[in-house]
Amino acid sequence: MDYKLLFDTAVFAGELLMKNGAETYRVEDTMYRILKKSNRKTVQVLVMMTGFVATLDDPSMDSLTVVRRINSRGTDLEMIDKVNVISREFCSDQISLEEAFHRMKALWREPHEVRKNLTAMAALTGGFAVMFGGSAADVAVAAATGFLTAAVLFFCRKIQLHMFLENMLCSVFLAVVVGLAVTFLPGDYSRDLIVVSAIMPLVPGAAITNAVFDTLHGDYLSGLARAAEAFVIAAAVALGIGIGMSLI
Amino acid sequence: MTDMIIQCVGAIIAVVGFGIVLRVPAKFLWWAGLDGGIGWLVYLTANRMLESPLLSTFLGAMVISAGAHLCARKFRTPVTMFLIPANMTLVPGAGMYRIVYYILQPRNELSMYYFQQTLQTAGMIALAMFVVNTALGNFHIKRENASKRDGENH
Repeated sequence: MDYKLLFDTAVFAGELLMKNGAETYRVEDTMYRILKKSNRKTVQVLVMMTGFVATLDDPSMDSLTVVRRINSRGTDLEMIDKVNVISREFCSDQISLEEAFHRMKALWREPHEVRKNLTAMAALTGGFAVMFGGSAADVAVAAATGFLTAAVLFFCRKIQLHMFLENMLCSVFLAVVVGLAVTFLPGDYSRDLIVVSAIMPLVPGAAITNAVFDTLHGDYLSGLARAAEAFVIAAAVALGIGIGMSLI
Repeated sequence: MTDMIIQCVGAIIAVVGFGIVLRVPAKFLWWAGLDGGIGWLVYLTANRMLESPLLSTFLGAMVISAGAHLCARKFRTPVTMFLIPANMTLVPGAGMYRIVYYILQPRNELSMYYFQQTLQTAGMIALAMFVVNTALGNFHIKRENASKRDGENH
């Protein structure tokens, strides 16, 4: 078996999983399982939220070690599912190492386009407005705000603004839009409800869920790091809402 | 009763929308939505009967976690695929807004109250996930690996 190739496959898998928002435990487990297919004596994988170290060693060979630093993190659950499928098929001997490597590399090379899901965002905020028991007018304003906020959000992603500034600008924008709509459009609106529905896409739900998972699996460092990330995002959103509301 | 069902439909739409934004594969989207919708129904029912938002959040989060685990087993895919979108229904976004709102009023005592409540709600969701995860026992694999790894070093 080509250990270099096996190692590269595991590193690709780990990098893809980490960049797309998998839990630390899943990254560690996936890399460990792939490396364990070599039947070498020592396989060690240490994953933290910002990078990982992996080692493969045996008395019969020189040891291999890789350190990778992960700088950008997003959430793309489809990618996690794809990596999961490849690693499962490889570990149950359904596909060869070469095929696993090529499929993993193809995934890795896949352009990470900024998806313009404006209608999905509108459905999201509108849905939350319905969920919180808003009237038809509230739902309409919430959906429109979600649509516009999504446009700003995707623009910020495109020019690669810092996460903090991105969340803050979006919340300023949405607070101003909701304020204007509630003040100038005819009809009765519940401003609280609309703002709460509209900030939902910015609320760090993925970070909270992953923080809990990491803590649960004993990856306390990553758990705390993700909790800190959630706090930073929450603070940015809160600050933005505060600025936006005092403007209107 | 009707308004509860309408709200649950809203929850399903919201979760599916979130799923699209987080790029959940299309075949799992509606399962995640259903999970979130049922969780919100449990939350609303519990809130009406017990009149305790925290306990209702706990129960809702437990149902969502259990549903996500069942879906993950059924489709052999990571549990976060369903859990992240569905959990958004219970995540305290409203609390975050109220903290800032009352700081601006300025009514600090109310702001502190909501700060506390937001943390408590997040804690309740975390506890529910802990309970369900440990009860459904997904950990034998990890322990096995860990003991193997320990064994290699000695």
